[in-house]
Amino acid sequence: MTKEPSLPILYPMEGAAGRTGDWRTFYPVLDPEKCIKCNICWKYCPDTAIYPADREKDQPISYDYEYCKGCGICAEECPKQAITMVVEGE
Amino acid sequence: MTVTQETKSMTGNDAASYAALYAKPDVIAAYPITPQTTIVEKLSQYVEDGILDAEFVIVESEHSALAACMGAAWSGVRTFTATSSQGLLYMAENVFWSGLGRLPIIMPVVNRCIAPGWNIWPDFQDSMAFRDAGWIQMYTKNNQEVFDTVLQSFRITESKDIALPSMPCLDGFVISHTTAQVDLPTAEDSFEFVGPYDDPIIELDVNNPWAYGAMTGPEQYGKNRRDLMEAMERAKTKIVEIHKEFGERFGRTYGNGLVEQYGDDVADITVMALGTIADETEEAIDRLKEEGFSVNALRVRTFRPFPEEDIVNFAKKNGKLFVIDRSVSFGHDGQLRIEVESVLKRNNVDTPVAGKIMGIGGEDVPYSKIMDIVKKELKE
Amino acid sequence: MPVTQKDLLKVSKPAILKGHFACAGCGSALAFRHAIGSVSEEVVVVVPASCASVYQGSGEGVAFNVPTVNTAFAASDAVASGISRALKQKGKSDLKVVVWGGDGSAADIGIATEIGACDRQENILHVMYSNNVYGNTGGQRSGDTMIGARTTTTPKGNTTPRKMVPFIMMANNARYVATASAAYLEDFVEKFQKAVSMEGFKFIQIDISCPPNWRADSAHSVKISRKAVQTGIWPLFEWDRETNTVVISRPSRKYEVKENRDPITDWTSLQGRFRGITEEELKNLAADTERQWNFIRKFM
Repeated sequence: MTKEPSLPILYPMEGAAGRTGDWRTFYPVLDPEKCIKCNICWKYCPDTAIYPADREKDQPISYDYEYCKGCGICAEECPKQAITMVVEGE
Repeated sequence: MTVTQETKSMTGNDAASYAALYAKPDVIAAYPITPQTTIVEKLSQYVEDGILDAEFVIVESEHSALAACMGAAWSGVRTFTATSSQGLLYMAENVFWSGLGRLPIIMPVVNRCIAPGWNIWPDFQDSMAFRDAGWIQMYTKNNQEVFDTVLQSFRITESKDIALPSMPCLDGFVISHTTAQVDLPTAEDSFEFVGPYDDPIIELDVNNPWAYGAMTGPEQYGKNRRDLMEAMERAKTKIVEIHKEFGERFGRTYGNGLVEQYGDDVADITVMALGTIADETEEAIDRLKEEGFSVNALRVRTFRPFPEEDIVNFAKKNGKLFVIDRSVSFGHDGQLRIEVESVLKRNNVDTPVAGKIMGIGGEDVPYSKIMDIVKKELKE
Repeated sequence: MPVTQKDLLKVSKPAILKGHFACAGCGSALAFRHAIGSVSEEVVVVVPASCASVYQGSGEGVAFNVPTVNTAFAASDAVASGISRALKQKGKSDLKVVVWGGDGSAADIGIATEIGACDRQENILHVMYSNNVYGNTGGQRSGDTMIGARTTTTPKGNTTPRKMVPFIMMANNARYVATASAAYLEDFVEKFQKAVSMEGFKFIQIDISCPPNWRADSAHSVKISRKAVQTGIWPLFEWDRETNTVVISRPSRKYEVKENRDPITDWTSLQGRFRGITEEELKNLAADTERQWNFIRKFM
């Protein structure tokens, strides 16, 4: 059997940097009443940590807190100020 | 039954170009530097004339030349470039990237002095500087061997159990620009010996994406390097095998492929050298023997991997080794001598070793000079 | 083809997986997500030493879900050239080859390589994401650092004007050159899509926020990029070699007229790297910004 070389290769993996949710100081909290399901926050999340809203199903956005780094872009960009950044532990 | 070959006059560089032409690389990168330039010029002619179906990338630096070859290697195709001296130094990080990264690339190095001052004549300072980079290094002694070695290099490098790039070396001007007779096999027979590169060592694949060379920790990194060391070890056997097969097919051999003996098995003094100095040494040995001296020679053809066993076995039988280096590791000694002494010591062989650094800056080393220093050594 | 947010939502295969190594609020990761996401089934990404080399992976796996080749700092465009040529030999030219690197490589150490690939008209797209510093190494001045920016090697404020790489690529006969912003992702992806559909050397520079090196609030990442456009600091435009004409992109149109621009301090005040910027520096920064607009205007 031919020995294949041990190459410096890595494969795609969710959580390549670990549970990045642990990086947070603040975490985003949505007021679902205020969510107009525009998905602007979904668009601007660098970590794809927001599940998009679904207008047809009348479903607001939601978070993957496993990987949300708490950057606060979503809260800043929300046209309805529907998201608040809360200190971890509160 | 060996194949038919046609005897043609050509320079060492032409011989390298022929071997590349016959191996049919898909991507060739080209950047000029004396005394390598005519290798890539010839290839550009073959491509333009439609004889060679390859993408010819005329890059803006040597760093990019090797980078382009690396891109091609990552894409699973056969690839080739050539360089010398300053150019080899300029692409230094990519030389290491390719070697340590196990990328199959063939890159003849036409040996030329390193500046300052500007000097286009041969010595081995350039390729010696990269003996740590994980490349197969072989030193040729004449134009014929250039063709043979470049062709063999494709087979060695592209073997999945080796996967190490190759740097076949040839003396600048003495080989590269000197015309000599070369027995050239046909393109078909040559390509048949190399074979198509249809089972690539690495190939990017959208259906199975990988990231090459991303952040790596000590464990994975160490594992890759140890694997490389093992591949180098295996390369000794592989080189001998392929060399033997080549000999059966094309009727030419150079010792066992790793080292080449000249003269008797046993003598009072053995001259060791690389490249054309070793070729001159053959003439020196003949004449010294006529004068009644007990001398033989052992040319080191393959420098990386270092043919420890072959050198040790030969040294055991002989009275003294005299190593001629055409380069020097400043602060210590000539690299060939250092490595010869090291393998003798670790195998408890007490054959004395002497040596001399010659040919630096392209200084001519004719057989008469070699005879003089050998005689001097024998007197002491 | 105009790109809308709906198009961004339609991505079949994510280009970058969750849990990557980018800093919180990284504009580069955001840009990668949508641009590479739009071609995720048919792309090869070439990454020179840059933040992307780091945010990609950690040693056990990588966040990039597309074939990725990491290269030495200056080598990316030459490697991409080799890949593009090899794919051509293999009859796989439909695969898009994209260099994804920072300003360190594209403006400085890799510029000869980049111009070389451009000059050879290699069929690759180079996306230069710029945070105007060598980000990975802690924020040293690069060729793309603007006047007034405090960096670790220009602690009292950079004095040299920005090396406008898009202009360099225009002068070197690229096929298509554009600027973009992480605040206007549809505009960026539209330009990206346009570029990858063309033959030849394409170049896009995208302004992306870098909260750590800019000493800015990560929450303001998109806002700062938006302000860069609204203050005229970062003009969004496209240039096509066939027409040799610059078209100002819609988000920037209003700000072509100096008087319509928001005061530069709207942008600088959000970033700690401009703390202490003097009136003199602000004037010089404004003048250099106008220099860029003047260059663009020559092609309009």
